[in-house]
Order: sequence, then C-alpha cells, then structure tokens
Amino acid sequence: MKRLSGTALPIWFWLFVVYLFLPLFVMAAMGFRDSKFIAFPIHDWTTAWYRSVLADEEILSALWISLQAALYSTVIAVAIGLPMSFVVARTRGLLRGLMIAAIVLPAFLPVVVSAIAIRMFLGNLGLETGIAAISFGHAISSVPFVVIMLLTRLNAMSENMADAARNLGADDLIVLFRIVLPFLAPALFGAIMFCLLLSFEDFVRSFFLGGNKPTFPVLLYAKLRFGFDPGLAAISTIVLIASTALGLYAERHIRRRKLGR
Amino acid sequence: MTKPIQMKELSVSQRHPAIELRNLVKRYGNHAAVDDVSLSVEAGVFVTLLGPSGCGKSTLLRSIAGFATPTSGSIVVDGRDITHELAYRRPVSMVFQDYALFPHMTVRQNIAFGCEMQGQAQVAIDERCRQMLALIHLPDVGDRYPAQLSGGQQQRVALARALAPDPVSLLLDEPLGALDLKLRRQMQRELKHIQRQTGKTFVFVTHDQEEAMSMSDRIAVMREGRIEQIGKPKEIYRNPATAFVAGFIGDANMVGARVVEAGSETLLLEVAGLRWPVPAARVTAPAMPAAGASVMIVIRPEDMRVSGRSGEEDLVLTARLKDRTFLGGRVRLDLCAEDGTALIAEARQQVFEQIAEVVELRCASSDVAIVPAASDH
Repeated sequence: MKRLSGTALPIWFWLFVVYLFLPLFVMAAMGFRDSKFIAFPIHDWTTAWYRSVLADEEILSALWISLQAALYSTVIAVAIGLPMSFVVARTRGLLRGLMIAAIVLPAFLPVVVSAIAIRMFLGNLGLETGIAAISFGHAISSVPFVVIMLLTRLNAMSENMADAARNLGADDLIVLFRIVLPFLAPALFGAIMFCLLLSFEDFVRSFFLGGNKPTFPVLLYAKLRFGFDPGLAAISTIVLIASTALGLYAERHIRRRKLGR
Repeated sequence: MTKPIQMKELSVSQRHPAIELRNLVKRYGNHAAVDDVSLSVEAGVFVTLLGPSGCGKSTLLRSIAGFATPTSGSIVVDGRDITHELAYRRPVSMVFQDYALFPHMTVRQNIAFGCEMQGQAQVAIDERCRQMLALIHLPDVGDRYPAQLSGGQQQRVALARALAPDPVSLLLDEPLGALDLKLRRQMQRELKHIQRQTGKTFVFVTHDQEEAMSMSDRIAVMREGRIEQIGKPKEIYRNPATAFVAGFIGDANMVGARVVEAGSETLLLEVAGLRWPVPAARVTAPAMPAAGASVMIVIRPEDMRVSGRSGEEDLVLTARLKDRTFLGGRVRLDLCAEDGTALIAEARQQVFEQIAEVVELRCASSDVAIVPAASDH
C-alpha cells in the first residue's frame, strides 16, 4: 500500500492531468497549422488562422452577442439571487431546508428539459427568441449558484454584526451598503465571475432560446458542421485563454481578499 | 500615557439615573423572558446582571439596546423614554460576546464608525480614534484588520468601538466569555479600570458569579426573568435574600430548619431535632418567616469551624468526611450530615491533619443567613 501511494498514485494523477490538458494543447497547436485540414504532424507553421478569425465579422458578432447575454444574465441573476440569499440566511429550521432545495433543484434538471421549458414559458409571455430570452434563460440557471455562494458567506457573518452597526447609529440602508454588501463583496465577486463564465460557455440554452443571431458556442457548432478547420482551433484557443485568465484572476482576487480580511 | 477622556457634562446624568427600567416585560408566546423587571442604575456605576443561562439577562440587555421590543413597561435612559425609539437612535452602546467587529474594515474604521454616524468632523473622529486606541493600550493596531488581532485584542477593539461615540451607557453582553481564564482575569481588571477612567455606566451581563463579584459595584441576580436580589457584591454574599441567590453566589451550605418561635429579637429554630436561637437580624429574606415556616440556614464554608473553641450559641452539626481537596494553604472538606445533606467546610492545613472520619462542625449564629426554604415564585 505504501509503495502504491508512493509512486503509483502520483503517476495515476499526472496521467489524468495529461489526459485533461493534451486535447487543449493539440487544439491550440492546430491553429498554427499552415493547411486547411486538421492533421499531425504540423510541417508548416503560420499565424494566419489566428489573424483571420480576429477579423471575421461573423465570429466577432457572435462574441458580442455572447458577451451581452453574459452581462445581462449576470445582472438579472444577482438582482434575483442577492435578496433571496438574505431571506434564506435569516430563515431557520425545516423551512430553510425547503427553500434551499427549491433553489438548488433546477440546477440538477437535465439542461435540455429546462431549456425547452423556459422557451415555452417565455414564448407564452410573448418574449421572442434572442438576446433577451437567452439572458433570462441563463439568469434562471445562474440564480442557484449566486444564492449558494452568497449564503456560504452570509453564514459566516456574525448574527450580531448588523445589530452592532445599528447600535452605533446606522439605519438599515447604511447597514446594507456599509456593512452587509462590503462583507459579501468577495462572494459577490465570485458569483458574478461564475455567472459570466456560465452564460458565456452555455450551448444548450443559447441554442434553444437564441434567435437568428447565434451566440459564440452556437456559431462554433454551426461551423463545425461544415468540418474542422484550423480557424476553429484558433478562435477556440483564444476564448480558452481569455476565460482561463478571467477565472484565474477571479480566484486569486477572492483568495487575496480572504487572506487580507 | 492616556489623557483623561472627555465626556459629556454630567449635569444631566446627575439628575436622572443613567438607566431606569419600569415594569419591563418581554414575552415570547407564553414564556416571559423578562418578567416585570424594575431597575434603576445610577450614572457611573458598574452594574452586573448575573444569572444562569436563560434567566432573561441577555434579553433585558437587548431590550435596552433596542434589539428586542418589550411587551410592556418602559425604558428610560438619561431621563428620556426610549421604549419605542429605534435601535440606531438610542444613546447606548453594546459590546457583543462575539465582538461583532466589521471584518472588512480596519480597526480604526471600526472605532470611527459610531462617530461617523453621528456626523462628526473627520479631525474630531481621528482624534477620538487615537484616544480610544490609547485607552485600550493598542496605539499601533489602527491599520490592521480584526482578523489580524488576537482574541483579547479584538475584545479591546470592540470596547473602544462602543465607547467612541460617547454613549450614556455601555451594555456588555458576556464580553469575556470567549477568552481563556488567564486573559479573562486580566480583562476583568482592565474593564473595571476603563470603567473608572471613563466614568461611564456599565451594564454587564454574565453567568460567572466570580466575575460579577470581582468587577461590580452592584449585582442584580436574575432568575426566570425576574431580579431576585440587587445589591453590592458583599451584601449579596453575606445577606442573600433567597436560597437561589445563596447557592448561585459562592459556595453555600444549606441546612433545612423549621421556625418554632418568631420573636422581634430572636428567631427560635429547630434544626436536626435541636432548638437553636438566631438573631432576627440574620433573616436576610425581605419578609420575616412566621412560626411553623420552613427555612434554610445558609452557612458559607469559611464560617464552618471544624475545631477550635465552641461558643454557647453555636450550631453543631455532626457530619462524616467524604472527600478532601488541597487548596494550597487551606483544605476544602466535603462532608455528609446525618440526614444526608451535603456540606462543605474549609480548614487550615494544620487542623486538617487531626481530622477524624466523623467531625463536629460548628457555626456561630451571627454568621448565618436565614432564607425561605421554598424559593419558587
């Protein structure tokens, strides 16, 4: 057992890490291939694919749609989730459990099912498919994450903290803006980052709720149907790097705040 | 090192008690957490609400702060009825058991918060922070965050934050509960010192009777939502009004007795089949018991003599030795009386060497307190 955990387990671990990352590196490398076809080995290298996709109107427009949907859905999700987390935080006992279950359950539904349900629901409300529909759809799926992330932080808040501020002369608004929200800031920041990425990378809901202008993942899928080319690898790599950078920054930011405070 | 802290003029406070509670009741459903409490606290006094958990002392404190709305009765602070005043407009500050410091603010920002809410000028706030940090002997921690301080330091910062807006009274809800024993003792002395230095009225809540005894000018012993007795620590220790108070404050022997004759000068008791006269002045309960009533004789362990001269008027109890504990210079004896009553006594070490298995305990009638046997309301 000891020898197993000494060498075999680490090997197992690193093998899996390679399995996780190798496809990504292959994809990134393909973007530099000076040929229209995906194949190894790469004989001639070029940056032409990377340059061309950054000038591609269709791709830029899809990125812009995705970005808008991400921003709108995040704003909606936070606007809904923040007050919800306050309500749950001050509830005790069985009702609290029920509330959390009611919030979290939708996150476990098959995405396709919930996407269709949302489409039908929004359709009945008279909302056309498009950015608005996508934004609401994404917001609905993001709310559980917002509430859970904020709740974790709220649970760590001393019950007396708001009372202490009130005792020192702060009315409810001041308590909210000077005490509660700043205290929640790290969790709020994390929730916002999570919502943005969740919306940006979503395919299924965007596919069902989108109009004639595709979001970025939907456009990639549409392009894939006409076959791979190194341009797809290039734009995927760019998006991968951008979102990884954002994720790492968010992670670092949250961790630094926790340490400092 | 610390300059005298400037306080509001005392002229107003001299005319009124700092805090006055009139027939205060706080009900949760059918349960009265605070049950008809009236209390008057003079300005500049350190008063402690002492009682077991669930006796209503914290609810009482939270009512004064405005976090609990009284069912009936009124709260007057510095001559002003604040019963229906919102919490953030009340001239009292609270120190919480978990300190409740704002973790996202520096120590200085924490201390400044109350002054800021009062709309004080920045210059005045800065000066006040400096004073407060000096008062708690932590002049250099202003720029740190609470998480970077030790528990004892956080406790002091919480105190400074509460004192900074110059409240009429400071309410302290078991503020030393989270500290270890050594730090606790140190903070007890320091709290008392700061109270004297600032001249503020402190209302301190604790369940630790030793803490209450060592710090307070007045102790209000609470039980089941009521104040059982209020007085100076020594008064309460020597002259407990009820068996509950006697048992809660310090160690006490309780010996059951029956009143045979209730005279104006002397009370004749029947204890363990023998008659024993006690001065009527040693009845520490508010009402004189009638003949035939059951009473408790309260005897402090240090008043139980294991040997030595026997006075004419002494109560003599025969007891069997069960256990002995060395307390340095003295020895604590756990004994069992003939009727099964557990007794404790203290003896000097030399005396202890000669103690037999069965001993005679003596107690002078001037050293006891007579309280009603039934201590229920």
